[in-house]
Amino acid sequence: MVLLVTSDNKNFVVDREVADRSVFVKNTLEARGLSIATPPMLNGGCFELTSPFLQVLEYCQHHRGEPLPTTDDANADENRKRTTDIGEWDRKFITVDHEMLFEIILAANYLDIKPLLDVGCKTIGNMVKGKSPEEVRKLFDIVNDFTPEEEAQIKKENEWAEDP
Amino acid sequence: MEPSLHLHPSVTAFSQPDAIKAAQTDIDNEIQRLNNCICSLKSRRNSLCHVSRLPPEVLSEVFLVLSEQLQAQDRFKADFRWTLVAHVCRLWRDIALQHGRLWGKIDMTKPDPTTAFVGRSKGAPLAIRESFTGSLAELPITFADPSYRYRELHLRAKDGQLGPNVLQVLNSPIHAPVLESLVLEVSDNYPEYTLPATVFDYKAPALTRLQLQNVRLEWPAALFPSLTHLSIHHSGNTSLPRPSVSQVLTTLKNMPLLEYLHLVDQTIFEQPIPLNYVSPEELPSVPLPHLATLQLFGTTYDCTTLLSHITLSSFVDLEIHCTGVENVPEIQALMNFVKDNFARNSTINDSSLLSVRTNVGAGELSVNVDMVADAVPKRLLSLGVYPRVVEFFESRVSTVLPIIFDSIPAAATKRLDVRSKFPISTEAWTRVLNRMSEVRVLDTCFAGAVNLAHVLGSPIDNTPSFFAKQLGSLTFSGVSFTHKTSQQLRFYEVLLDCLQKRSNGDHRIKNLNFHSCSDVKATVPSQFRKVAHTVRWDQELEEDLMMLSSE
Repeated sequence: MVLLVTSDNKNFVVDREVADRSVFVKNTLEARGLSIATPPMLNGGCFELTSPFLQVLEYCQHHRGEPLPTTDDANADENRKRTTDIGEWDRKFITVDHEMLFEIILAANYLDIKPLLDVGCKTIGNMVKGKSPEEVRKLFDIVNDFTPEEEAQIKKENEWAEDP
Repeated sequence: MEPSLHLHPSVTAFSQPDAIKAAQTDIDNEIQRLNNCICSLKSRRNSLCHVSRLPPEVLSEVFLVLSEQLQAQDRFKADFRWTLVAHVCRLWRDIALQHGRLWGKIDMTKPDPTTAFVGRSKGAPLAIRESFTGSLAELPITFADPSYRYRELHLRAKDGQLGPNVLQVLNSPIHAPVLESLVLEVSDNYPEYTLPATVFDYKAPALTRLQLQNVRLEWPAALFPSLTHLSIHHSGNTSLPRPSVSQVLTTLKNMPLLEYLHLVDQTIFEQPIPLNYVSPEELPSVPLPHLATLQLFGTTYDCTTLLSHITLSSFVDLEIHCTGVENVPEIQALMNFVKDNFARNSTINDSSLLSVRTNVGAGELSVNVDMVADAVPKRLLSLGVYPRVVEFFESRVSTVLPIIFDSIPAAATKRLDVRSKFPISTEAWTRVLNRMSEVRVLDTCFAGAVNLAHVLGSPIDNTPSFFAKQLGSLTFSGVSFTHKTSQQLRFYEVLLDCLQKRSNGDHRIKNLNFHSCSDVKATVPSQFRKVAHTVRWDQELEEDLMMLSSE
């Protein structure tokens, strides 16, 4: 068993197999020979882990024992990206509001849980796919901050993106 | 005097034109400054969005996923719709422009983005996808780039041949250290291009996929030993010399990592395979332990000879399309060979006669034949066997069907679908029915259907036992009648009589199904209910048959 302590001082005891889904935790434990991992600070501030961490733990519990992707197989990595499919369980798992989605992705990125990061990236990719820039802005509450010069350049590039 | 509000402080109604111009410039600059301030404020606002919390490396990963997904759909056509992400906001644009790998996929049919993409790729490996008409000579670019940058080269000359630019790259003695995939396809009507012996000096250590269509190789070819995916396709109408089986085997021997092998019309033999086929011993034996898919198109002899000298794992998916002289012994020899040598998925095709797909090891049989109807007019349409299913469009169906079934384990097939407009003889039915628990007769003729009925109703050698003892389900769909009413009535009469005999002999059919067989259905089903546990007529079968047609 492994004790994980979040930055807001919540303790989670999990199986080693579950903890090892995170390459960050795995490496930390292996390097220190410890069974306690104190997770991370993020962007210079306290990573409010409890809520997304619960979600991430749920993901790790569900996928425990599955083979982890190897870091040296670029082809497999690319093939994984090309697949739009997200498994049924993962799809339900990742169907959360934007805020939580980004928290989970941040956690997956920091804790180095590649399959979860893939699911998150594909989910955002699927949200963006087929949308115009204006629709994407609306989706993520972004405003158009391009200067007129940049707009002119973008206008020229627009034809690249016409249907193939 | 106070200046008018609409005038610049330094300008009056009497100012010189130069002063007015200068004032205008001042104002323009101020507008520009304020615009920049507004854009800057908007950028700061954007930085507070939830999505902006994602670090650049994650956002660029999202863009990469989007790009890969859109571009995976066509090997030759680049899809640039992902570039719209660079039009959303400055942050997204900056991240996209900084990620060279995103821009490394090039479609040379659009010169403008090509130039921009090459620049933005910042030295990242390039994937060139090009489907062009004529020659590439007029296309400016990228081929000036050193070959060490190529990750993918997928080039297809739709109505022409490979142009000098392409040839220059391929003939280059410079190595291609990151090249993973090389696809060259030339249209049928143009002279074949010979892949030079010096292509990348054969030093492309990362190359795993090589796909050539109408591109000739010098055999035996010293191809890349790292290949996992090899496809060499010659169109039937090209007249250039082909390699011998021995040369093909010698080439394959150098590629032990192959997982996918697709060879179309590669070899030169035209001799029929003898009934007691013995493969030539002098040929090399080639172990391909990783091969998962093997597709061979060639003469029956060549395919069998190649097969007999390649050592395959038991999990290989095998598909053979034989174009040789067709005769029954050949089919028999081929079927025996497949049965003896391959445990799992196998497909044998003979475009002039038959195509067989077997899952022998899995206890299933599937045969799928797409016939070239033009080549064999009036005689042969199609013969196919799907998982546990057999379909025939074959005038000699009565001869061929038993041979195929005699060649596979008795346990393999439980369901038989026959689709034949030619009558199947009672003898043929007796040889194939016994192992079946389900038979579906599709688009068949009156005589074939009546023959089946007779067999089902015939006691074996005057004993109480009947043929097809295990038969539980029988379906007729689309029986065609030349003399509609009289033949229909005759068919139902014979069938009813025969099934009555089975019913009396304790071999009652469980499910009896009819579809598109009758205009007199109002009266017929009730009669058949006496000889089968359940009888279903057109409407109830609709769904099943729709599924069947989609198969």
